Amino acid sequence: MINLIRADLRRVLRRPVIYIFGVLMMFFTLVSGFSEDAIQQLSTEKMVVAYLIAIMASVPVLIGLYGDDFRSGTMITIIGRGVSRTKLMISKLISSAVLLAGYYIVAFGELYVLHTFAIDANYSPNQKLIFVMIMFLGWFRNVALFAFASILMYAFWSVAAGLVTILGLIGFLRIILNAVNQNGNFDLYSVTTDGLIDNAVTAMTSHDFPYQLIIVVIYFVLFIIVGSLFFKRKELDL
Amino acid sequence: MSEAVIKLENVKKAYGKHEVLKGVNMMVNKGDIYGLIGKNGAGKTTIFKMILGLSVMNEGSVSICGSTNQKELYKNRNRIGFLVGQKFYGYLNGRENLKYYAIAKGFHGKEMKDEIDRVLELVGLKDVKQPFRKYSLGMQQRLGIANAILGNPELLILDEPTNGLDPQGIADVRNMIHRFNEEFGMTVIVSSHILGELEHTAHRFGIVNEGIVVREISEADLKETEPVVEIAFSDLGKARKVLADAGIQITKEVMERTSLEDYYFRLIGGGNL
Repeated sequence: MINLIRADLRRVLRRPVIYIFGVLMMFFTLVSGFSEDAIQQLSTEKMVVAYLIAIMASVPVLIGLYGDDFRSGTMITIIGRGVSRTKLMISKLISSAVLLAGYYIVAFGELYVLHTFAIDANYSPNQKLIFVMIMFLGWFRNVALFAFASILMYAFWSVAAGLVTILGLIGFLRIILNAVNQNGNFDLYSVTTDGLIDNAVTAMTSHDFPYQLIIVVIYFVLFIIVGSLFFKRKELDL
Repeated sequence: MSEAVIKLENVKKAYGKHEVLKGVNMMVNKGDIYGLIGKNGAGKTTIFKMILGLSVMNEGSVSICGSTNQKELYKNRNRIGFLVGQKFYGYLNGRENLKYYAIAKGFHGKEMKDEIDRVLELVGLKDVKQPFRKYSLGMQQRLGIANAILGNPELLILDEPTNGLDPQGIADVRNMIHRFNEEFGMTVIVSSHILGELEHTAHRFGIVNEGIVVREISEADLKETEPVVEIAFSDLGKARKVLADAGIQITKEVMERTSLEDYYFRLIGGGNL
Protein backbone atom coordinates (compact mmCIF):
# COMPACT_ATOMS: atom_id res chain seq x y z
CA MET A 1 0.00 0.00 0.00
CA ILE A 2 2.90 2.34 0.79
CA ASN A 3 4.22 1.80 -2.73
CA LEU A 4 0.88 2.70 -4.23
CA ILE A 5 0.68 5.88 -2.15
CA ARG A 6 4.23 6.83 -3.17
CA ALA A 7 3.44 6.21 -6.84
CA ASP A 8 0.22 8.22 -6.68
CA LEU A 9 1.75 11.20 -4.89
CA ARG A 10 4.74 11.27 -7.18
CA ARG A 11 2.68 11.36 -10.36
CA VAL A 12 -0.05 13.71 -9.09
CA LEU A 13 2.54 16.32 -8.12
CA ARG A 14 3.31 16.63 -11.84
CA ARG A 15 -0.20 17.92 -12.50
CA PRO A 16 -0.30 21.74 -12.94
CA VAL A 17 -3.85 21.82 -11.53
CA ILE A 18 -2.44 21.02 -8.08
CA TYR A 19 -0.35 24.20 -8.10
CA ILE A 20 -2.90 26.40 -9.87
CA PHE A 21 -5.44 25.76 -7.13
CA GLY A 22 -2.76 26.25 -4.51
CA VAL A 23 -2.00 29.72 -5.87
CA LEU A 24 -5.72 30.55 -6.16
CA MET A 25 -6.28 29.41 -2.58
CA MET A 26 -3.48 31.65 -1.36
CA PHE A 27 -4.83 34.60 -3.34
CA PHE A 28 -8.42 34.26 -2.10
CA THR A 29 -7.19 33.75 1.46
CA LEU A 30 -5.25 36.97 1.13
CA VAL A 31 -8.33 38.93 0.07
CA SER A 32 -10.78 37.22 2.45
CA GLY A 33 -10.85 40.13 4.88
CA PHE A 34 -8.89 40.65 8.08
CA SER A 35 -9.46 42.25 11.42
CA GLU A 36 -7.06 43.53 14.06
CA ASP A 37 -9.47 42.19 16.67
CA ALA A 38 -8.15 38.70 17.52
CA ILE A 39 -11.59 37.15 18.20
CA GLN A 40 -13.03 38.59 14.99
CA GLN A 41 -9.96 37.42 13.08
CA LEU A 42 -10.24 33.91 14.52
CA SER A 43 -13.87 33.74 13.44
CA THR A 44 -12.92 34.82 9.88
CA GLU A 45 -10.20 32.20 9.78
CA LYS A 46 -12.71 29.54 10.82
CA MET A 47 -14.91 30.47 7.84
CA VAL A 48 -11.92 30.59 5.48
CA VAL A 49 -10.93 27.07 6.53
CA ALA A 50 -14.49 25.68 6.40
CA TYR A 51 -15.34 27.01 2.95
CA LEU A 52 -12.53 28.55 0.92
CA ILE A 53 -9.67 26.22 1.78
CA ALA A 54 -11.93 23.15 1.81
CA ILE A 55 -13.12 23.87 -1.75
CA MET A 56 -9.75 25.02 -3.11
CA ALA A 57 -8.04 21.90 -1.74
CA SER A 58 -10.75 19.37 -2.61
CA VAL A 59 -11.14 20.18 -6.31
CA PRO A 60 -7.51 19.60 -7.45
CA VAL A 61 -7.10 16.53 -5.24
CA LEU A 62 -10.26 14.99 -6.68
CA ILE A 63 -9.23 15.80 -10.25
CA GLY A 64 -5.61 14.72 -9.89
CA LEU A 65 -5.95 11.69 -7.69
CA TYR A 66 -9.31 10.24 -8.73
CA GLY A 67 -10.36 11.89 -12.01
CA ASP A 68 -7.23 10.92 -13.92
CA ASP A 69 -7.54 7.34 -12.69
CA PHE A 70 -11.20 6.97 -13.59
CA ARG A 71 -10.53 8.45 -17.02
CA SER A 72 -7.36 6.51 -17.86
CA GLY A 73 -8.35 3.25 -16.21
CA THR A 74 -5.03 2.91 -14.39
CA MET A 75 -6.86 1.65 -11.29
CA ILE A 76 -7.95 -1.34 -13.37
CA THR A 77 -4.32 -2.25 -14.05
CA ILE A 78 -3.50 -1.95 -10.36
CA ILE A 79 -6.42 -4.22 -9.38
CA GLY A 80 -5.50 -6.71 -12.11
CA ARG A 81 -2.04 -6.91 -10.59
CA GLY A 82 -3.44 -8.23 -7.36
CA VAL A 83 -4.14 -5.15 -5.22
CA SER A 84 -7.49 -5.62 -3.46
CA ARG A 85 -10.13 -2.98 -4.04
CA THR A 86 -10.33 -2.17 -0.33
CA LYS A 87 -6.57 -1.63 -0.20
CA LEU A 88 -6.78 0.59 -3.26
CA MET A 89 -9.58 2.66 -1.68
CA ILE A 90 -7.66 3.11 1.55
CA SER A 91 -4.43 4.01 -0.25
CA LYS A 92 -6.28 6.65 -2.32
CA LEU A 93 -7.80 8.06 0.85
CA ILE A 94 -4.39 8.26 2.54
CA SER A 95 -2.91 9.94 -0.55
CA SER A 96 -5.81 12.42 -0.48
CA ALA A 97 -5.17 13.08 3.22
CA VAL A 98 -1.48 13.78 2.51
CA LEU A 99 -2.24 16.16 -0.36
CA LEU A 100 -4.97 17.93 1.59
CA ALA A 101 -2.55 18.29 4.48
CA GLY A 102 -0.20 20.07 2.08
CA TYR A 103 -2.88 22.64 1.23
CA TYR A 104 -3.85 23.15 4.88
CA ILE A 105 -0.21 23.59 5.92
CA VAL A 106 0.32 26.22 3.19
CA ALA A 107 -2.91 28.01 4.18
CA PHE A 108 -1.97 27.78 7.86
CA GLY A 109 1.43 29.31 7.12
CA GLU A 110 -0.09 32.11 5.08
CA LEU A 111 -2.72 32.97 7.69
CA TYR A 112 -0.17 32.77 10.48
CA VAL A 113 2.19 35.16 8.70
CA LEU A 114 -0.70 37.51 7.91
CA HIS A 115 -2.22 37.73 11.36
CA THR A 116 1.14 37.81 13.12
CA PHE A 117 3.09 40.26 11.00
CA ALA A 118 0.72 42.08 8.67
CA ILE A 119 -2.35 42.81 10.77
CA ASP A 120 -0.94 42.25 14.21
CA ALA A 121 -4.00 40.46 15.61
CA ASN A 122 -2.15 39.68 18.86
CA TYR A 123 -3.36 36.15 19.55
CA SER A 124 -3.15 34.92 23.12
CA PRO A 125 -1.51 31.49 23.61
CA ASN A 126 -4.99 29.97 23.97
CA GLN A 127 -6.17 31.64 20.75
CA LYS A 128 -3.07 30.36 18.96
CA LEU A 129 -4.01 26.86 20.09
CA ILE A 130 -7.57 27.34 18.80
CA PHE A 131 -6.15 28.54 15.48
CA VAL A 132 -4.06 25.35 15.16
CA MET A 133 -7.10 23.25 16.10
CA ILE A 134 -9.25 24.98 13.49
CA MET A 135 -6.68 24.07 10.85
CA PHE A 136 -6.22 20.49 12.04
CA LEU A 137 -9.92 19.79 12.39
CA GLY A 138 -10.64 21.53 9.06
CA TRP A 139 -8.25 19.08 7.43
CA PHE A 140 -9.78 16.17 9.35
CA ARG A 141 -13.29 17.18 8.22
CA ASN A 142 -12.08 17.42 4.63
CA VAL A 143 -10.64 13.89 4.76
CA ALA A 144 -13.93 12.64 6.24
CA LEU A 145 -15.78 14.25 3.33
CA PHE A 146 -13.47 12.41 0.93
CA ALA A 147 -14.17 9.12 2.71
CA PHE A 148 -17.91 9.70 2.33
CA ALA A 149 -17.65 10.90 -1.28
CA SER A 150 -15.54 7.89 -2.26
CA ILE A 151 -18.59 5.66 -1.69
CA LEU A 152 -20.35 7.44 -4.55
CA MET A 153 -17.25 7.83 -6.70
CA TYR A 154 -16.53 4.10 -6.72
CA ALA A 155 -20.19 3.16 -7.06
CA PHE A 156 -20.66 5.40 -10.11
CA TRP A 157 -17.01 5.24 -11.27
CA SER A 158 -17.06 8.98 -11.68
CA VAL A 159 -15.19 11.87 -10.13
CA ALA A 160 -18.16 14.14 -10.85
CA ALA A 161 -20.12 12.23 -8.19
CA GLY A 162 -17.35 13.04 -5.71
CA LEU A 163 -17.15 16.70 -6.71
CA VAL A 164 -20.90 17.22 -6.39
CA THR A 165 -20.98 15.42 -3.03
CA ILE A 166 -18.04 17.27 -1.51
CA LEU A 167 -18.94 20.71 -2.80
CA GLY A 168 -22.57 20.13 -1.82
CA LEU A 169 -21.63 19.05 1.67
CA ILE A 170 -19.19 21.92 2.12
CA GLY A 171 -21.64 24.51 0.82
CA PHE A 172 -25.08 23.40 1.88
CA LEU A 173 -25.02 20.74 4.61
CA ARG A 174 -25.07 23.18 7.47
CA ILE A 175 -27.73 25.39 5.85
CA ILE A 176 -30.04 22.48 4.97
CA LEU A 177 -29.73 20.73 8.32
CA ASN A 178 -30.21 23.95 10.24
CA ALA A 179 -33.42 24.49 8.27
CA VAL A 180 -34.51 20.93 9.07
CA ASN A 181 -33.69 21.45 12.75
CA GLN A 182 -35.96 24.46 12.98
CA ASN A 183 -38.92 22.10 12.50
CA GLY A 184 -37.83 19.38 14.91
CA ASN A 185 -36.33 18.70 18.32
CA PHE A 186 -33.45 16.51 17.19
CA ASP A 187 -30.25 18.35 16.26
CA LEU A 188 -29.42 16.43 13.08
CA TYR A 189 -26.39 18.58 12.30
CA SER A 190 -24.66 17.55 15.51
CA VAL A 191 -24.47 13.90 14.40
CA THR A 192 -22.90 14.67 11.02
CA THR A 193 -19.11 14.68 10.67
CA ASP A 194 -19.26 18.46 10.32
CA GLY A 195 -21.35 18.87 13.45
CA LEU A 196 -19.22 16.43 15.43
CA ILE A 197 -16.04 18.24 14.42
CA ASP A 198 -17.58 21.62 15.27
CA ASN A 199 -18.47 20.26 18.69
CA ALA A 200 -14.99 18.79 19.05
CA VAL A 201 -13.52 22.26 18.47
CA THR A 202 -15.81 23.66 21.18
CA ALA A 203 -14.86 20.83 23.54
CA MET A 204 -11.14 21.35 22.93
CA THR A 205 -11.37 25.10 23.47
CA SER A 206 -13.07 24.37 26.82
CA HIS A 207 -10.26 21.87 27.58
CA ASP A 208 -12.73 18.93 27.48
CA PHE A 209 -11.97 15.61 25.85
CA PRO A 210 -13.21 15.73 22.21
CA TYR A 211 -14.98 12.33 22.27
CA GLN A 212 -16.76 13.43 19.06
CA LEU A 213 -13.57 12.66 17.14
CA ILE A 214 -13.92 8.99 18.12
CA ILE A 215 -17.36 8.94 16.48
CA VAL A 216 -15.89 10.59 13.37
CA VAL A 217 -13.26 7.82 13.21
CA ILE A 218 -16.08 5.24 13.46
CA TYR A 219 -17.79 7.08 10.58
CA PHE A 220 -14.54 6.81 8.61
CA VAL A 221 -14.47 3.04 9.04
CA LEU A 222 -18.16 2.77 8.09
CA PHE A 223 -17.63 4.90 4.98
CA ILE A 224 -14.74 2.68 3.93
CA ILE A 225 -16.72 -0.53 4.57
CA VAL A 226 -19.76 0.70 2.63
CA GLY A 227 -17.55 2.09 -0.15
CA SER A 228 -15.64 -1.16 -0.51
CA LEU A 229 -18.92 -3.14 -0.60
CA PHE A 230 -20.03 -1.03 -3.57
CA PHE A 231 -16.60 -1.16 -5.17
CA LYS A 232 -16.28 -4.94 -4.82
CA ARG A 233 -19.43 -5.45 -6.84
CA LYS A 234 -18.46 -2.92 -9.46
CA GLU A 235 -17.86 -4.33 -12.93
CA LEU A 236 -14.69 -2.81 -14.32
CA ASP A 237 -14.86 -2.29 -18.05
CA LEU A 238 -11.75 -2.72 -20.12
CA MET B 1 2.41 -33.88 -16.86
CA SER B 2 2.37 -30.12 -17.54
CA GLU B 3 1.76 -27.67 -14.70
CA ALA B 4 -1.44 -25.62 -15.10
CA VAL B 5 -0.79 -21.91 -14.61
CA ILE B 6 -4.39 -20.91 -15.29
CA LYS B 7 -7.40 -23.14 -14.90
CA LEU B 8 -11.01 -22.09 -15.30
CA GLU B 9 -13.72 -24.52 -14.28
CA ASN B 10 -17.34 -24.02 -15.24
CA VAL B 11 -17.05 -20.24 -15.06
CA LYS B 12 -20.38 -18.53 -15.64
CA LYS B 13 -21.11 -14.84 -15.93
CA ALA B 14 -24.32 -13.05 -16.79
CA TYR B 15 -25.21 -9.37 -16.98
CA GLY B 16 -28.87 -9.41 -16.07
CA LYS B 17 -30.44 -12.00 -18.35
CA HIS B 18 -27.61 -11.85 -20.87
CA GLU B 19 -25.27 -14.80 -20.33
CA VAL B 20 -21.78 -13.86 -21.45
CA LEU B 21 -19.95 -16.94 -20.17
CA LYS B 22 -21.93 -20.17 -20.04
CA GLY B 23 -19.56 -22.49 -18.22
CA VAL B 24 -16.02 -21.92 -19.43
CA ASN B 25 -13.46 -24.67 -18.90
CA MET B 26 -9.96 -23.77 -19.93
CA MET B 27 -6.42 -24.71 -18.98
CA VAL B 28 -3.16 -22.96 -19.78
CA ASN B 29 0.04 -24.85 -19.01
CA LYS B 30 3.38 -23.44 -17.96
CA GLY B 31 5.41 -22.45 -21.01
CA ASP B 32 2.44 -22.32 -23.39
CA ILE B 33 1.69 -19.62 -25.86
CA TYR B 34 -2.06 -20.04 -25.67
CA GLY B 35 -4.18 -18.42 -28.35
CA LEU B 36 -7.73 -17.52 -27.43
CA ILE B 37 -9.73 -17.34 -30.63
CA GLY B 38 -13.24 -16.08 -31.08
CA LYS B 39 -15.23 -13.49 -32.89
CA ASN B 40 -16.05 -10.14 -31.29
CA GLY B 41 -18.40 -10.62 -28.36
CA ALA B 42 -17.60 -14.34 -27.97
CA GLY B 43 -16.42 -13.78 -24.39
CA LYS B 44 -12.62 -13.54 -24.69
CA THR B 45 -12.27 -10.27 -22.79
CA THR B 46 -14.71 -11.43 -20.09
CA ILE B 47 -12.53 -14.52 -19.57
CA PHE B 48 -9.56 -12.19 -19.00
CA LYS B 49 -11.62 -10.08 -16.59
CA MET B 50 -12.35 -13.22 -14.55
CA ILE B 51 -8.69 -14.20 -14.44
CA LEU B 52 -7.64 -10.68 -13.40
CA GLY B 53 -10.39 -10.29 -10.79
CA LEU B 54 -12.01 -7.34 -12.56
CA SER B 55 -15.41 -8.96 -12.66
CA VAL B 56 -17.30 -11.13 -10.22
CA MET B 57 -18.27 -14.54 -11.60
CA ASN B 58 -21.68 -16.01 -10.90
CA GLU B 59 -20.46 -19.59 -10.72
CA GLY B 60 -17.31 -21.66 -11.15
CA SER B 61 -13.71 -21.21 -10.11
CA VAL B 62 -10.51 -19.63 -11.36
CA SER B 63 -7.18 -21.07 -10.34
CA ILE B 64 -3.92 -19.13 -10.77
CA CYS B 65 -0.66 -21.02 -10.25
CA GLY B 66 -2.61 -23.82 -8.56
CA SER B 67 -4.58 -21.73 -6.09
CA THR B 68 -8.25 -20.80 -5.88
CA ASN B 69 -7.99 -19.25 -2.42
CA GLN B 70 -8.93 -15.55 -2.52
CA LYS B 71 -5.85 -14.33 -0.62
CA GLU B 72 -3.54 -16.47 -2.74
CA LEU B 73 -5.24 -15.23 -5.90
CA TYR B 74 -4.39 -11.62 -4.99
CA LYS B 75 -0.78 -12.65 -4.43
CA ASN B 76 -0.56 -14.71 -7.59
CA ARG B 77 -2.04 -11.96 -9.73
CA ASN B 78 1.12 -10.03 -8.97
CA ARG B 79 2.86 -12.66 -11.13
CA ILE B 80 0.74 -11.69 -14.13
CA GLY B 81 1.51 -8.95 -16.61
CA PHE B 82 -1.26 -7.91 -18.92
CA LEU B 83 -2.19 -5.71 -21.80
CA VAL B 84 -5.91 -5.11 -21.82
CA GLY B 85 -6.47 -1.73 -23.42
CA GLN B 86 -4.11 1.18 -22.80
CA LYS B 87 -4.30 2.34 -19.20
CA PHE B 88 -1.93 5.29 -18.98
CA TYR B 89 -1.92 8.92 -17.90
CA GLY B 90 -2.06 11.17 -20.96
CA TYR B 91 0.01 13.97 -19.39
CA LEU B 92 2.97 11.73 -18.52
CA ASN B 93 5.43 10.32 -21.06
CA GLY B 94 6.01 6.60 -21.45
CA ARG B 95 8.89 6.44 -18.97
CA GLU B 96 6.96 8.38 -16.31
CA ASN B 97 3.92 6.16 -16.80
CA LEU B 98 6.07 3.07 -16.34
CA LYS B 99 7.64 4.66 -13.25
CA TYR B 100 4.17 4.96 -11.73
CA TYR B 101 3.50 1.26 -12.22
CA ALA B 102 7.04 0.27 -11.23
CA ILE B 103 6.85 2.17 -7.91
CA ALA B 104 3.41 0.67 -7.26
CA LYS B 105 4.98 -2.75 -7.89
CA GLY B 106 7.72 -2.05 -5.35
CA PHE B 107 10.66 -1.06 -7.53
CA HIS B 108 13.14 1.54 -6.24
CA GLY B 109 16.10 3.62 -7.40
CA LYS B 110 18.57 2.16 -9.86
CA GLU B 111 16.81 -1.19 -10.05
CA MET B 112 13.69 0.64 -11.24
CA LYS B 113 15.58 2.73 -13.79
CA ASP B 114 17.32 -0.34 -15.21
CA GLU B 115 14.07 -2.31 -15.44
CA ILE B 116 12.28 0.55 -17.21
CA ASP B 117 15.22 0.96 -19.62
CA ARG B 118 15.15 -2.79 -20.30
CA VAL B 119 11.42 -2.97 -21.14
CA LEU B 120 11.43 0.26 -23.15
CA GLU B 121 14.38 -1.05 -25.15
CA LEU B 122 12.57 -4.34 -25.80
CA VAL B 123 9.56 -2.55 -27.30
CA GLY B 124 11.61 0.09 -29.09
CA LEU B 125 10.44 3.14 -27.12
CA LYS B 126 13.57 3.95 -25.16
CA ASP B 127 14.18 7.33 -26.75
CA VAL B 128 10.58 8.53 -27.03
CA LYS B 129 9.99 11.62 -24.88
CA GLN B 130 6.52 12.91 -25.80
CA PRO B 131 3.53 12.57 -23.49
CA PHE B 132 1.36 9.48 -23.86
CA ARG B 133 -1.58 11.43 -25.32
CA LYS B 134 0.54 12.15 -28.40
CA TYR B 135 1.41 8.48 -28.99
CA SER B 136 0.26 6.71 -32.16
CA LEU B 137 -1.84 3.57 -31.69
CA GLY B 138 1.19 1.39 -32.39
CA MET B 139 3.25 3.22 -29.76
CA GLN B 140 0.41 2.90 -27.26
CA GLN B 141 0.32 -0.86 -27.84
CA ARG B 142 4.09 -1.08 -27.44
CA LEU B 143 3.99 0.84 -24.17
CA GLY B 144 1.17 -1.43 -23.03
CA ILE B 145 3.39 -4.44 -23.75
CA ALA B 146 6.33 -2.78 -21.95
CA ASN B 147 4.12 -2.29 -18.91
CA ALA B 148 2.88 -5.87 -19.12
CA ILE B 149 6.42 -7.30 -19.03
CA LEU B 150 7.61 -4.95 -16.27
CA GLY B 151 9.21 -7.06 -13.55
CA ASN B 152 9.38 -10.15 -15.81
CA PRO B 153 6.03 -11.72 -14.93
CA GLU B 154 5.56 -15.47 -15.18
CA LEU B 155 2.33 -15.11 -17.10
CA LEU B 156 1.54 -12.59 -19.78
CA ILE B 157 -2.03 -11.85 -20.90
CA LEU B 158 -2.41 -9.91 -24.13
CA ASP B 159 -5.89 -9.00 -25.28
CA GLU B 160 -5.86 -8.31 -29.02
CA PRO B 161 -2.34 -6.86 -28.94
CA THR B 162 -2.25 -6.28 -32.70
CA ASN B 163 -5.46 -4.28 -32.88
CA GLY B 164 -4.97 -1.29 -35.13
CA LEU B 165 -1.37 -2.13 -35.99
CA ASP B 166 0.14 -2.08 -39.47
CA PRO B 167 1.63 -5.31 -40.91
CA GLN B 168 5.10 -4.46 -39.61
CA GLY B 169 3.65 -3.78 -36.16
CA ILE B 170 1.79 -7.10 -36.21
CA ALA B 171 4.93 -9.00 -37.13
CA ASP B 172 6.90 -7.13 -34.44
CA VAL B 173 4.36 -8.07 -31.75
CA ARG B 174 4.43 -11.70 -32.88
CA ASN B 175 8.21 -11.77 -32.65
CA MET B 176 8.12 -10.12 -29.23
CA ILE B 177 5.71 -12.77 -27.94
CA HIS B 178 8.00 -15.56 -29.14
CA ARG B 179 10.96 -13.83 -27.53
CA PHE B 180 9.19 -13.39 -24.17
CA ASN B 181 8.24 -17.06 -24.25
CA GLU B 182 11.55 -18.50 -25.39
CA GLU B 183 14.07 -16.11 -23.80
CA PHE B 184 12.28 -15.14 -20.59
CA GLY B 185 10.22 -18.29 -20.09
CA MET B 186 6.90 -16.45 -19.88
CA THR B 187 3.64 -18.28 -20.36
CA VAL B 188 1.54 -16.21 -22.72
CA ILE B 189 -2.21 -16.02 -23.33
CA VAL B 190 -3.00 -13.98 -26.38
CA SER B 191 -6.41 -13.31 -27.88
CA SER B 192 -7.38 -12.35 -31.37
CA HIS B 193 -10.15 -12.73 -33.86
CA ILE B 194 -7.64 -12.93 -36.71
CA LEU B 195 -6.98 -16.65 -37.15
CA GLY B 196 -3.99 -16.36 -39.46
CA GLU B 197 -2.21 -14.16 -36.95
CA LEU B 198 -2.70 -16.50 -34.01
CA GLU B 199 -1.76 -19.55 -36.04
CA HIS B 200 1.70 -18.04 -36.43
CA THR B 201 1.94 -17.06 -32.78
CA ALA B 202 0.49 -19.69 -30.44
CA HIS B 203 1.26 -23.33 -29.63
CA ARG B 204 -2.15 -24.14 -28.18
CA PHE B 205 -5.53 -22.69 -28.98
CA GLY B 206 -8.81 -22.26 -27.17
CA ILE B 207 -11.75 -21.61 -29.44
CA VAL B 208 -14.42 -19.49 -27.78
CA ASN B 209 -17.90 -19.31 -29.16
CA GLU B 210 -20.97 -17.83 -27.52
CA GLY B 211 -19.51 -17.91 -24.03
CA ILE B 212 -18.00 -21.39 -24.08
CA VAL B 213 -14.53 -22.66 -24.90
CA VAL B 214 -15.76 -25.18 -27.45
CA ARG B 215 -12.39 -26.78 -28.16
CA GLU B 216 -8.79 -26.66 -26.92
CA ILE B 217 -6.33 -27.86 -29.48
CA SER B 218 -2.54 -27.90 -29.81
CA GLU B 219 -0.49 -26.96 -32.84
CA ALA B 220 0.44 -30.64 -33.24
CA ASP B 221 -3.21 -31.74 -33.00
CA LEU B 222 -4.07 -29.23 -35.68
CA LYS B 223 -1.50 -30.68 -38.05
CA GLU B 224 -2.74 -34.23 -37.44
CA THR B 225 -6.41 -33.37 -37.79
CA GLU B 226 -6.31 -32.10 -41.33
CA PRO B 227 -3.33 -33.54 -43.26
CA VAL B 228 -2.80 -31.47 -46.35
CA VAL B 229 0.02 -31.95 -48.82
CA GLU B 230 1.09 -28.91 -50.71
CA ILE B 231 3.16 -29.40 -53.87
CA ALA B 232 4.30 -26.58 -56.05
CA PHE B 233 4.92 -27.35 -59.76
CA SER B 234 7.07 -25.47 -62.20
CA ASP B 235 4.75 -26.54 -65.03
CA LEU B 236 1.24 -27.26 -63.82
CA GLY B 237 -0.09 -28.43 -67.22
CA LYS B 238 2.74 -30.96 -67.64
CA ALA B 239 2.25 -32.18 -64.04
CA ARG B 240 -1.45 -32.78 -64.69
CA LYS B 241 -0.60 -34.77 -67.85
CA VAL B 242 2.05 -36.88 -66.06
CA LEU B 243 -0.35 -37.70 -63.25
CA ALA B 244 -3.12 -38.60 -65.71
CA ASP B 245 -0.72 -40.80 -67.77
CA ALA B 246 0.28 -42.58 -64.55
CA GLY B 247 -3.38 -43.26 -63.79
CA ILE B 248 -3.41 -40.95 -60.77
CA GLN B 249 -6.65 -39.08 -60.42
CA ILE B 250 -6.60 -35.55 -59.02
CA THR B 251 -9.50 -35.51 -56.52
CA LYS B 252 -9.12 -31.95 -55.42
CA GLU B 253 -7.15 -29.03 -56.73
CA VAL B 254 -6.94 -25.78 -54.80
CA MET B 255 -5.37 -22.74 -56.34
CA GLU B 256 -3.94 -20.71 -53.46
CA ARG B 257 -2.80 -17.14 -53.73
CA THR B 258 0.23 -15.96 -51.86
CA SER B 259 -0.99 -14.42 -48.58
CA LEU B 260 -1.03 -10.67 -48.47
CA GLU B 261 1.28 -10.67 -45.47
CA ASP B 262 3.86 -12.84 -47.30
CA TYR B 263 3.62 -10.66 -50.39
CA TYR B 264 4.02 -7.50 -48.31
CA PHE B 265 7.16 -8.70 -46.57
CA ARG B 266 8.59 -10.16 -49.78
CA LEU B 267 8.13 -6.77 -51.36
CA ILE B 268 9.34 -4.44 -48.65
CA GLY B 269 11.46 -6.76 -46.51
CA GLY B 270 11.54 -6.74 -42.71
CA GLY B 271 9.29 -8.74 -40.46
CA ASN B 272 11.77 -9.15 -37.66
CA LEU B 273 12.45 -6.94 -34.66
